[in-house]
Amino acid sequence: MAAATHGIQTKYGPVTVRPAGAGQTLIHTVSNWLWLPMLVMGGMAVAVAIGLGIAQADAAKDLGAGFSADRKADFETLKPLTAGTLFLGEAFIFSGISFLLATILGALRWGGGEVQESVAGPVKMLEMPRSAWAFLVLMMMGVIAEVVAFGSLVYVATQAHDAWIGATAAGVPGSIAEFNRAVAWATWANPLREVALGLLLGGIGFALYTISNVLGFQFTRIRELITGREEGGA
Amino acid sequence: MAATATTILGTKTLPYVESDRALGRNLAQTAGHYLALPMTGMGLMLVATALIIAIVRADLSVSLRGGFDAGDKAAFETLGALLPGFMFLGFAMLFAGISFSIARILGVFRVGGGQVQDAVGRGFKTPLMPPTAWIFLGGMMMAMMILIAAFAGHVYAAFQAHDAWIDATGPAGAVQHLVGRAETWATWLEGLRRFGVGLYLTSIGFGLATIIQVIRFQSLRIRELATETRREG
Repeated sequence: MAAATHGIQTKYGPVTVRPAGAGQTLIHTVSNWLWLPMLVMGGMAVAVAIGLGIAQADAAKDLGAGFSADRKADFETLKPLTAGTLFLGEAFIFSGISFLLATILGALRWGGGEVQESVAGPVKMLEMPRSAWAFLVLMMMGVIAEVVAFGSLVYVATQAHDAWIGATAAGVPGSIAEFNRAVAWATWANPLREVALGLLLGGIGFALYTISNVLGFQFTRIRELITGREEGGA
Repeated sequence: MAATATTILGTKTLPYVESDRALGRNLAQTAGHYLALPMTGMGLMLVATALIIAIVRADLSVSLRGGFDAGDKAAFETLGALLPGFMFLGFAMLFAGISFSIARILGVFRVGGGQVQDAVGRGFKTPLMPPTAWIFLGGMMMAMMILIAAFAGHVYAAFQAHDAWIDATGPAGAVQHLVGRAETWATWLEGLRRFGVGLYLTSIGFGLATIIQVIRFQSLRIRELATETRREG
């Protein structure tokens, strides 16, 4: 009769010993479904940002031909929108990469269970390590920060538009209050979008670290299966 | 240790050495083993520092709208020059964390491959470092040095911006040649930063390519061990 599930401690972290392999976790399943849509959305957002950049360049050309409030408002509105959309796209692409790394972890978990089941030994599975939790938290924080930065830059765009639409001369906005608000928000919203990318990169670093730990555990387990000697138990 | 060979089961693979014991991690893999997490942690702290600088700068921007003050303006411009420096130094550390994690994975393959071969008891075959691994290492080190140099450049630009504005009597009272120098440095440093990040991403690509080659090698080696075991009954 198969033994009941119990836990042991290894140098790679706590391990659960079960009679049969476990399937993928919710996070792995979500990742299997989301990595491609994220990459596609990222690509689309970057393409939109290129379009906005071209429109901004066109607005700059019009503005160079002669000042008008409409032209200046167009240019100042498109500037934060282009930056925001570009970084939102990059954040989606990094999220897609993060989800792909999570699918690799899911495949290692599932495949490791399959191999152990096939040799009819007890199935040892590494519990979710702290580095995997750090990966998840950083990824979610990164996406949230990027969405907040994008929302803030849309707000900057509306304020910049309202500030310049009533302008009567170059360099003198129609509404000083809205101009000041746009400048102040842009001062922190632009760095925030880079911070969001930093959080996503940090998450990717933790994901790769987790993969290295899981691989190390699985090599040890394969050795155990070949030699028939338990090595990981504490 | 036997001379290098390049085929397993008649299939061309990475050059490898045969030995009578498992080889441990090499220096780069050992560095990756210990430095992956500290680098990522430092990167996150630097990025957080950059965010704090941005918030302080936004606050100064609001103060400056209320009326000109040379001290506030100097601080605003100084922080403006420092902000991208801290942000990209943070990115450099984060990319280093990712690169060291890749090196750590390669180390796990090397040590784990040795463990499995040891368990089977039919000798050890260990791939030599392929050209992609050398490019990965070289690119990573160059990118790190470029981003650290860019950070130093931003500190210099920050000094110039500070000196340009600290004695200003009004919004048009800055020392123009210092403003110009700060702006010139900021302009070319932006290009340098982007180049550094591009180089990092490229070297990470080579690191991943190395992992693919090692996995191919190990698949062949497992097939070879299985074939030999089957033949001998």
